Amino acid sequence: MCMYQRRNLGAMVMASVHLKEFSYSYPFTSSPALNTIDLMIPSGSFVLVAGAGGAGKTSFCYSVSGLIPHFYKGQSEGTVCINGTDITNVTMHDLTGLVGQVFQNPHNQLSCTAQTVREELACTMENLGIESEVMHRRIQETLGMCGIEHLAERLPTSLSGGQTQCVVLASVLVLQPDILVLDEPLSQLDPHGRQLIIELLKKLNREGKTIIVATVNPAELFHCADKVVVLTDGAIVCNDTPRRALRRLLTASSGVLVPEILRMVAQAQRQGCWSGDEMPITLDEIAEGFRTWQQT
Amino acid sequence: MATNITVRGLSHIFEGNITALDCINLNISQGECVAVIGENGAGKTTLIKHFNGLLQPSAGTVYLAEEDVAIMRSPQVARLVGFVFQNPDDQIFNQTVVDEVGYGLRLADLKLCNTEIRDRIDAALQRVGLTGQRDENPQDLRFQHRRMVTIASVLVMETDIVILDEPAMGQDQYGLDLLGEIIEQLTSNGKTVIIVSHDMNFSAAYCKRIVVLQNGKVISDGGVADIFSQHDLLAAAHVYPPNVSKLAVLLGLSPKIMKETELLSQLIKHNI
Repeated sequence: MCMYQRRNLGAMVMASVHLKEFSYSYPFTSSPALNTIDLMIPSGSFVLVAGAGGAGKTSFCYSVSGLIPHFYKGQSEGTVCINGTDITNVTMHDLTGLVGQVFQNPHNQLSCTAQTVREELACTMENLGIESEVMHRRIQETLGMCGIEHLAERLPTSLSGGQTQCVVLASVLVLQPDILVLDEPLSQLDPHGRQLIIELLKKLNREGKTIIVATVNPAELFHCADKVVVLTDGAIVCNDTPRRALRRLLTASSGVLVPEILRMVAQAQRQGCWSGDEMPITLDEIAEGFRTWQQT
Repeated sequence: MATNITVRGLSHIFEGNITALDCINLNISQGECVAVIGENGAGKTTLIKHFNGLLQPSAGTVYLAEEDVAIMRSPQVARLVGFVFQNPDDQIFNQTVVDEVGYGLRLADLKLCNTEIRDRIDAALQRVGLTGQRDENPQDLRFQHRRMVTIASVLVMETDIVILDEPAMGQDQYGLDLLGEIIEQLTSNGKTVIIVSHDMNFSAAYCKRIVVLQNGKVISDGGVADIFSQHDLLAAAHVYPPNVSKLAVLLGLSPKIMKETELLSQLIKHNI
């Protein structure tokens, strides 16, 4: 039996993540990949972890999913707790149903033994000994949810980058984890695929799942997020709402991508030709700010 | 002679009778900066892999400077076309950055002396900002830097044509700005740059011409403003216009506006 206390809110199962003064260095490295991270991610929230390449985003993901310290050894200080329990004291087996991680490079996540996408999705569930009927129902539902029913009988290693990204997301979702950790989940998708996955993440979040997305390009997820955590050299330099984090990203260089259109708004604000109290995070809000300015 | 790319009746059929390209006709003149766009599986990567002979046509022909690519020798193609893969891990295999960047130079039979080879490698590493990493194992570098290693290993060849498959993917702001500079420098030196990209904002910012693929066919081909202003056509191909064009429409301005600076100055002009 899983040793976790799952917090039940009606039909929803929720789980929190708490990093306390957490630092981590990979073996044979001198500088820490994560430096004194203090962060509480409440159950059911949607958090973006943004930063330049090398800022610590992937290490952050590993720390929440338990790969640090269970797979990556090295030096750590402080604790990472899931639902109040130190992750060090939980086996990877128990973590499987609780935290699911989608890797940055989807090809690293394929089992490479499955002959079809359907088998790929079955892989971990078979290892967990889930009943065949339940397994098949979950696979079918998940394929539909991720928009990849048409790929069900394809060889996983023959798919395009974007398709593989959807397959590995499905292979994690099928395990129904309470916390989803996604490392650059949209990077290889076309705009249509990105929209599909964004809508799916929003839906999962509404259903109570805690969603953590690490990305260098957070702008298209601003509208779904409760908080944006900005990392620089392994440390948190900003933890704020998307609108306030955006203002910071526009003024302080962090390497995080900020779309040119938002830079233009900042420029317009400086020139006094955009009206609004808060930074806009959608095109409609940008347009509204210009219209308001035109009317005044 | 100019290294133009001429594509005539190009089809490519993958195993299992999957038609990836369906009778493509296309001319790309030397010095053009072209983005090939389209949804996943539209045939973008398959198309560009014919420009340097990585794939052989099932039907039709690709000519490089009027020579059939299918019958050219690899070193001959390598002197004309540089190709940066979507995933740097598919491209990198040497133990150090400097060996990786110099590998093609040594193989392509360019008749360069050692000093010239060294100078070219140094220049390419400096261009991509990896001078300090020259002796490191590329596999130890992070994704953005591995991508820059593969770009350097193409720049070093000084080919007339540079093809980049999803160059913006996974880049942070520093990397993206550097990439933009590299593309601008290549085109101002008369090189042909062809990118495949899902990033319409990047394509609008740096490319002059857009080729839209769908189901292995070219469904539209033209100047950046002409193509990106046709929002219905893009929607049908499952791609989206750049933000700047969408915002221009929301504000009642021309969808042909492709630069944020232009949009802002038009807004100010209209309001005065």
